[in-house]
Amino acid sequence: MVSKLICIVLFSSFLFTVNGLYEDQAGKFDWKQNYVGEVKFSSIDVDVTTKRLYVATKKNVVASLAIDTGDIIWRQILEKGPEGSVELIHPTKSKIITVSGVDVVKVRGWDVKDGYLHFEWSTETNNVLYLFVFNGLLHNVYSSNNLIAVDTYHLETGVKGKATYTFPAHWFSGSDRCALSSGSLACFDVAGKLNIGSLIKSNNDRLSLDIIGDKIEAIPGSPIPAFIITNKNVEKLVYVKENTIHLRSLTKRSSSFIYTYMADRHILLQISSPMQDTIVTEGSILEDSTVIESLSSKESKSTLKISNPRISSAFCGRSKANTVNCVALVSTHDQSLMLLKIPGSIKWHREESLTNIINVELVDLPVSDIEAAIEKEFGNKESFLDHSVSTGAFSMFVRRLFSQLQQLRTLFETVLGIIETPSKTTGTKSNLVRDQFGLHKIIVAVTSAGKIFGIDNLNGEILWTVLLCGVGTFYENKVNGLPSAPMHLQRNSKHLSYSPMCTLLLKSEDSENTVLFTFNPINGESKNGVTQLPYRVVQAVPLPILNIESVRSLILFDSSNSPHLYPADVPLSSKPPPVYIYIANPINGLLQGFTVDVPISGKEFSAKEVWKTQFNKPTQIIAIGSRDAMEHVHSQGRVLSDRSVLYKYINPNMVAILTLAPDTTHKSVLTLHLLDAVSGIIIYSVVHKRATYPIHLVHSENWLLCSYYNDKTRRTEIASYELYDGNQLSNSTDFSSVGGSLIPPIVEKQAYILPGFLQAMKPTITEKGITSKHILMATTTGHLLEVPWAFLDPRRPLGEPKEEGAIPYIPELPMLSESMINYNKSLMRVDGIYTTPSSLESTCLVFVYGLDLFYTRVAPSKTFDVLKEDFDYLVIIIVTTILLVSAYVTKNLASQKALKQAWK
Amino acid sequence: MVTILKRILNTMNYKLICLFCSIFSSIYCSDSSYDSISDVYLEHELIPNAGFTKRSSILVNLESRNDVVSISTINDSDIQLLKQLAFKNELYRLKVTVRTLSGKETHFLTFTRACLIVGSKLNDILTLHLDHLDSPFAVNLATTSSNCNSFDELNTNNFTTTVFFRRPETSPVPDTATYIQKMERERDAREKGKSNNNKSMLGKYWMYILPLVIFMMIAGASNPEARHVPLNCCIPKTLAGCKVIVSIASATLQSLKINFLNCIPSGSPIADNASVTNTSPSELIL
Repeated sequence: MVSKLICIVLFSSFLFTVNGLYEDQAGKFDWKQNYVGEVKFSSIDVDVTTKRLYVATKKNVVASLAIDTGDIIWRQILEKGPEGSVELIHPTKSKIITVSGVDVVKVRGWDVKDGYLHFEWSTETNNVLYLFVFNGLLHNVYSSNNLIAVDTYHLETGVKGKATYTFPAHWFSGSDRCALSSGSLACFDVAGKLNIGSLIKSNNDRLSLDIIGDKIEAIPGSPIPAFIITNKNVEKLVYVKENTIHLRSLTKRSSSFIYTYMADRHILLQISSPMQDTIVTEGSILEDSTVIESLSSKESKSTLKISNPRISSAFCGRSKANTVNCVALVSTHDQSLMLLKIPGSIKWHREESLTNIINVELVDLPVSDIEAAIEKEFGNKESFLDHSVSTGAFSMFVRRLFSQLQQLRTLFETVLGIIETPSKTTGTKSNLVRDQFGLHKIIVAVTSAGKIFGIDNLNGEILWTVLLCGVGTFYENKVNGLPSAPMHLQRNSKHLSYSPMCTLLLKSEDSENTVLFTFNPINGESKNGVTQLPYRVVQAVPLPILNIESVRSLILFDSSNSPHLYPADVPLSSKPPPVYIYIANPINGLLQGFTVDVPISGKEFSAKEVWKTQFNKPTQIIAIGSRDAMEHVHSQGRVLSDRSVLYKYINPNMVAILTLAPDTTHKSVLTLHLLDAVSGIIIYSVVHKRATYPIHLVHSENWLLCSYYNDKTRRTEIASYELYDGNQLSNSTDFSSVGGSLIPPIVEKQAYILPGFLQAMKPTITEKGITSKHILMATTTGHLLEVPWAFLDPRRPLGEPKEEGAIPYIPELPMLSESMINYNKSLMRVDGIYTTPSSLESTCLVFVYGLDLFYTRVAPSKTFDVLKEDFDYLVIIIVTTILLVSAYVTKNLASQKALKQAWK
Repeated sequence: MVTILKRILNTMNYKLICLFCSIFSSIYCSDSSYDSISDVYLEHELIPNAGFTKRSSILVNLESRNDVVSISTINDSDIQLLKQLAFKNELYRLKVTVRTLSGKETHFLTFTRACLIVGSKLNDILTLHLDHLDSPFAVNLATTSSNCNSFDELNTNNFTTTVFFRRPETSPVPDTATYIQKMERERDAREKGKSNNNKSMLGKYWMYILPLVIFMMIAGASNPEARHVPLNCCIPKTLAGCKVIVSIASATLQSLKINFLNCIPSGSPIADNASVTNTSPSELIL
């Protein structure tokens, strides 16, 4: 018994050490980038000792940035969702005060130096219209009983002020016809008159102005009440000074900002971006429209791609040469943040839209020119297809000579140091070539701000960006309301004569129809890449056959269930087998299966509905889990303790469907259905009662994991399912879903408790599937756990082990510090994990996105196919040389001895 | 007298049972007051893309909780069409309409290869999948045999349809109770084992430990510098238990205890194991 225990403990200790990282390996294979999100409010602190920026963002983050570099000095993350949304920030000398929350307003004071919380108080509020700070008092403007009431609170203590001011409610004509700026409310009345009144005092004096407008907006952060009134694309600026209304017309469409320059003088700063790579600024005195020459600038940068810049905060001063200088924190529509020196340049630039990644793909890099030449020469017949090279003896000889000459030249150049070795140059094109082990890839990330990024996976450097404004927007996922951007890699980098090709499905900006955006994932270039479709695509499926241009064509299924091929007019290389497509409507719970027979010409074909499944209302389809298309299952079965084999049920067409239905007795019922997407057969279904969000689903090989929050036991549980065929392989020759075996697979099931809350879950994937599987779990505490699947195996025995090496069942999953692959780099607000295989069987590349970006690589079964870093090459060389020499010497000696013996 | 009493008691018993029965049935009725399935209407497509024609209608009673077997006849022209369909290796599509008692209709579509229908001599299986509220959400068609070659042997006009009902399984729950029981059982066994076999680790395994210690002593005496070697393992690098064990082998007796204290990373599972082995050599010194 004791020895058994020791064995188990020893075994498990070895299991965990797999995940360990040596101290000096930290940061060697991984990188992390911190972000704050799209800026909502900001303030500039130009105090020489601090020199900082304070920002509050739409990701509910309060942070301080260094003014010179834009680096994050401290960052505090507030509650998720509307409870933590920052409504107001107010900088004081030593504290940054934030007001956040919707129904319960929480006021917090953060230390400017290190972001520590100084104080916090909260109050319950209803029907809040506006919040503003004046004179150290928080003013809460709300509507109650046909009145507009203003409550005041002392900002730091939360003590309620003496008076509550009230105003007649008819004055407030709705939040889209009113705006609040610097404590003054401006509203259009029914007659189209603009009334401006102060909410700070309880007087009912109102200023009014005759102006026609259809939109009113307050200038953010203005020291005096100032509004922009838009009427048929003509913008006018209305401001109040010394109790009188002034009107100023604005010439250009640009974003404005007002800065108090001297006691009675204000600077009006305007910023616009006529092109994606240019920023134009203008400055003038607000009162007399005098143009300040030094503030007019035009900044162009080819790498810059922005749209609709807006000044979030600014600071102006007088320089030695007696000109006015400004620094402005500019946020843009594409959620980038930059510090602009006027006159001057962009000091730094942050791509905050990377906090809103909605789709990610890791794309292989193309091979280098030399390797391409070798490939052309020795490549096998299949890869010749796209090389278009002749195979005559003479031409092959010439090509051989040419490629060898080229190799020789590069060798000389490297030796003589004429060109730098590719590994040293970063960010240049020559560096973007495939390495030996397929570890260097490019991360293509689509963000909800409409910007696509190409990121180097080895150092996190942004290589290219593409703005989607003017191309299209995103469709919205109806269940969770998040934007979705399906992306298909139609041609990878393996085809030498063609560049890789990636297609993104977008929604047209002015209709429900689909726009296809095709680009090269290596450099972001797009040549005639925008295709407007006259229909809405509901499903896009890649064909198993390439077309003659080596493009994996997509079958686009439109909303009237007719299929189309993209690219449309290119014939296929061979006749594809009949393709089965399923479409799911998450809202009404309708699932339909179609069969499509694509002709070789790729023209004129139709779909036939073959199965239909209808979930009862109000069941919603919340997730569909299909296996990764790249996944291979290496072993077909498991060996049991009696040496018999338990065969896995491996159905390549199986998808897992999660449905959630509200229930009277169990609150909500989560059902997992396993569906054969070809035949429409429900293989298995299982009900989880009282299961609610967060729900995550993992489907890989022959097993599934479903994590949910159990409302009854109040904890996160992971249900694990595994499918087996039994002792005989049922579909041994070739698998067919139609008319296949009637016997349902054996389903092993077990549940585990996870001591924590999950944000994302994903299995590792390797090229051949030999390496054991680990599950990557991102928890709300910021850890990225690497849990061996053996711990989640539903066959973990409670009694005697059924097979060798099985770990006894323990209901709670271990969360060991050694298995946290992000060590001390906490990852907050994780949205997803992306895993992709490298060319090394042992290694899997991991990219985690959310508020922070984290990239690393994991080796679930240790790096069995690479030598260790500290491998002693010298010793092995010495040993082999000695052995060789001694073998040679002893051989001679032996022959001499044999000769002597023969003479005897 | 006694028999009469018994009889009375018996009748009372029956009454009680009956009462129980009626309560149970009323509960049952109230439970099944939802919209129950009344019949399944089948239509099939015999000419590709020409539309569906009626095959049969099957009456279903969910309360009986039995699988339903129904036999229906189709005419000869339909049989010919079916054979043609099978010969061309087309798909046989079946439209299923499930009606409930209140008249609510749900449409489903399912298919199989036509040759399988003919090959199985018109024996088919319909699986009706019911959700947790017993309302159907999917219908699957299958045949009894996977024979796809012999179309000509078809000598019947009768479709033999078996209707199965499948309900979802319940989810697994973390089995904490059994685990706790198992732990208690193990603890009991350990306590029992202790009282029976009170020998210490050293007493039991002295034959393994002694050679190891001798070996270490020899190694330590021959190589005095080796004393410092185990200290290397105190660098946080050594997470692997094997290194600790190697270090024991090369350590001298004096440094052994110190090594253990320093080397084992706190909280790592090897600590339990190490403490067990730790006691034995120190006892040996004494």
